[in-house]
Amino acid sequence: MTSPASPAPSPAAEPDTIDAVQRALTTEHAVVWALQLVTAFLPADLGAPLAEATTTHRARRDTVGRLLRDRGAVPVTQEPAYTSPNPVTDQASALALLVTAESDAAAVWRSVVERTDDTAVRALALDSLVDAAVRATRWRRAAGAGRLTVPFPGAP
Amino acid sequence: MSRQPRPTRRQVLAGSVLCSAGLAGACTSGPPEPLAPDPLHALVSTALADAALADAVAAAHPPLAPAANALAADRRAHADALRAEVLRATPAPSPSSSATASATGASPDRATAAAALAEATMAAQAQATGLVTALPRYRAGLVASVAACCASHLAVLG
Repeated sequence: MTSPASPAPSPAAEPDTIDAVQRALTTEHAVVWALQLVTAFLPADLGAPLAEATTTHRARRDTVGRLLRDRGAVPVTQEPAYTSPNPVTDQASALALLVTAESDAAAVWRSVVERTDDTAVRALALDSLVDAAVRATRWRRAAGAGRLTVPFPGAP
Repeated sequence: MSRQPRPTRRQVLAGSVLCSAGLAGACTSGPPEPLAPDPLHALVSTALADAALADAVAAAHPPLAPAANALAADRRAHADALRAEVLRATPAPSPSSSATASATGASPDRATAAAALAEATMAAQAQATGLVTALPRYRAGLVASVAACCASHLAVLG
């Protein structure tokens, strides 16, 4: 174990940190893909939150790519398509995919928090985890779910 | 700096050993003093206080009950998990681990009660967020999830 907090972001991050951030980037690519996939199935009143989510996740993808390059790693690229756990055929299945996507994002970002002592990486991971949890809650509410929150977003 | 004759290092060490022995003798009747409080203690206390406030708001304002009850349940889950982590790190019982939240009342005005709940949740998120950077890895993950949960409740309450 290294010390819990380093005074400055380390230029050469530890391999487990890089691996965790690459997994998070892979998931961010998949979330952006999911947001594009569901657009056709969601009503106009969800257009604004959908656009805002897309902008946020794209920006994060760029931030993560820069962070990886700064630490000497080559960021993973977006695949042409990802697999959805269930077919998206209507509004309900579209919102379910968004809840899954944000929950996946929460999980990979919590994993980054637990695999880095790099304060800059940890801060980004915390912000991303919080954002994913909030967005998952909003999509659950849009879906009319009974339970809108989970006690430990991103927990394995 | 003083130029007066000073005790040699050996004398000082001998003196400190005697002092330590004296202190140890004086302390045998009680548990050793902890060096520093576990930083998670404060999060446990806040989680329990928030749960108590949410209970009071749910009881006083039925329209707020779904959100307040969900918050109370999640904050109690936070208190349990954080307390378990404190005990894992320091198995000896500590005062805070058995502390209970003081009785909390909800404002009779619904808007004020809802605002108080949101304010407490926002403060809890900030408290957890402030600890994440400095904590060891596993604890940082747990506390980050607590912050994220508080933020998601704010999305419902706000």
